[in-house]
Amino acid sequence: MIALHLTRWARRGLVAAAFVASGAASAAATLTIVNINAPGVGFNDPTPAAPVGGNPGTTLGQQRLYAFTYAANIWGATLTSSVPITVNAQFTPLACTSTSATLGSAGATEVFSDFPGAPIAGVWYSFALANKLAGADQDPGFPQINARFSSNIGQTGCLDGTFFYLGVDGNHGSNVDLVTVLLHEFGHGLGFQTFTNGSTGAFLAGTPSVWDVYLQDNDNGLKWINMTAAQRAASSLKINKLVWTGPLVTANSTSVLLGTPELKVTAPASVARSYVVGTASFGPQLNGTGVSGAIGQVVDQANGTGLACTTLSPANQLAVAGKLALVDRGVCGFVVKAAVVQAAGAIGMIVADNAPGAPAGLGGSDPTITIPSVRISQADGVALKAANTTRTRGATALAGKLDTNIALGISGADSQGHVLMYTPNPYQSGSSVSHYDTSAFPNLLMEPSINGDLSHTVTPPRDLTFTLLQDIGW
Amino acid sequence: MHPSIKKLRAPLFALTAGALSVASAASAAQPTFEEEMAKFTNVRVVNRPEAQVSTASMPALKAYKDPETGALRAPTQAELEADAAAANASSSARSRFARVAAPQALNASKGGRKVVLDESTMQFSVVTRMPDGTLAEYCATGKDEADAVTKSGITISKGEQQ
Repeated sequence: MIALHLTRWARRGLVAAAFVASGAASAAATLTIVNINAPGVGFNDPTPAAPVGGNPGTTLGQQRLYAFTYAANIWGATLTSSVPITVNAQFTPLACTSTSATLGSAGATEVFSDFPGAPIAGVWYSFALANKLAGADQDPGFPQINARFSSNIGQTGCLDGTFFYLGVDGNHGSNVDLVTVLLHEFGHGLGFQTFTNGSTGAFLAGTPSVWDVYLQDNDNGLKWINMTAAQRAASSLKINKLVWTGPLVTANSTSVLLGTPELKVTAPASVARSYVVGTASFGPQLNGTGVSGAIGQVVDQANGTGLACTTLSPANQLAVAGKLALVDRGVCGFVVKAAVVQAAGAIGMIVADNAPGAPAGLGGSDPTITIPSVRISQADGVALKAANTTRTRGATALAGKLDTNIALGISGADSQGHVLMYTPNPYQSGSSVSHYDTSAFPNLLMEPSINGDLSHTVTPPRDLTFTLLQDIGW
Repeated sequence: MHPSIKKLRAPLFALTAGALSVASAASAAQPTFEEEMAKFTNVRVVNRPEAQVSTASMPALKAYKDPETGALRAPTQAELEADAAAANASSSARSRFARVAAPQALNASKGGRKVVLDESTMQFSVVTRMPDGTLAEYCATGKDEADAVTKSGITISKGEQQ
């Protein structure tokens, strides 16, 4: 067992932190971006480019630098540190194929323990955080964060035709929003990760990370710092059991995360109950008020399914106008289906899965979608259709509501408000443990996958990234 | 070894007040790029290409010959990027961030202990184009994991588009 020793400073900090909502009324930190690209490449690429999405650069290199600086400035305006944070940065060719690519990487270059002013003894802190806590550079002359991003995205053989979106307005369309990726990776570099090996449970060089102080296995009630390596390795595979117990994330979880999303069917009585749903990355988010109405079923295939991939027939338009449209997954993208039923006057969309299993989310991006959408399981879709015995062109037996229900619990958190960490089984090197769980709703910046509905925000009431960093000492 | 950051006092790119005033005079109505960059009050940008490119692979030491005429010519953009990648790989392999042995804790100069990290703790962002043409993005720790995911593609389901 490792004794947890909180200094007086740390105890005072925790108490004070309880009164700090999320940060940053007088935050100030300086990030120094060290452009280590050679002339003519990366940040210095002279290829002409038209200004895009609030990025005024007129060359590819300038636009990369502007987007990079934009993201760094968001963190600089949020963090507080008297010690500048140096980021060695470059755009350079990285591994890729025509369909998959490494976008970039970032991380702390060193970790420190037991430095002057360390709030907790015997744990690793990332370089930049150790500097902030000590009020002095712990290893002068070295950068705190290394960052490399791909310079060949979009070229032939490297995610052909898909590029980094270098605008700063979030309108990335079908391209990759560089600012969001940067905010996420900077978050890791600032300390949003454990340095303990989640696969083996081994501490880095025999010492736990400050992260492990707050990571708790709800099965046995133990913190990672007090477990054996075998217990930690087992814990990293427990779906919905590993939580973050830091006081600020817990205090803010109810203001950032909504109740569990649901489809609440109210009629007919035979199927009236709450149904598990996957949420959409497009359209308005569900909320506690919800959208309610009759549920109109689309039928546009000979086998009785409703794909809604093309403009609906008059009969199907009548079936969904003013209602929650029930359609089937398949053939076309979810955003296409949403656009089709929205054009027919639907007030929401319910997609019945076409494969067994729990309903995952609905991916895609289309800013013109103004109705909420969810996915239900294949089995639930079959049950609802079977119960719709009085369906005609304009009539339906089904009625319900798309909303979030706090009575079902906070999405992405346990009953104590502790936010769940990502623990897939089998273990996913890197993604497991050092990210928030994908069940969080709305989606958080530090989930393992970057979702289309993220904004360029790291603080409550939209996000919990900075809040977790505050828990560990920022 | 990494040269001291203190050596950065002569950056190639610096947002100085003087530079901004000259830029302002040149275009009063349309802010220059430098003026727009100066609005980021929490960020400073410096150039230090020598931190990446080793002496052995400096582009200045390499000749580029036109394959058709045989004449020496300036490098193309692709050649510059290939050189940068090679230099990066070369310097990375020699850097203190490339390590094959288990990480060791060292005494830190200001007190306490430290570990110099390598690419196994770096966070990588990987993207895969799904069958319907949309993208799924994914975060992985360590270059080996990132390379494996890049090669095999992403399979997590939250971002399913269809």
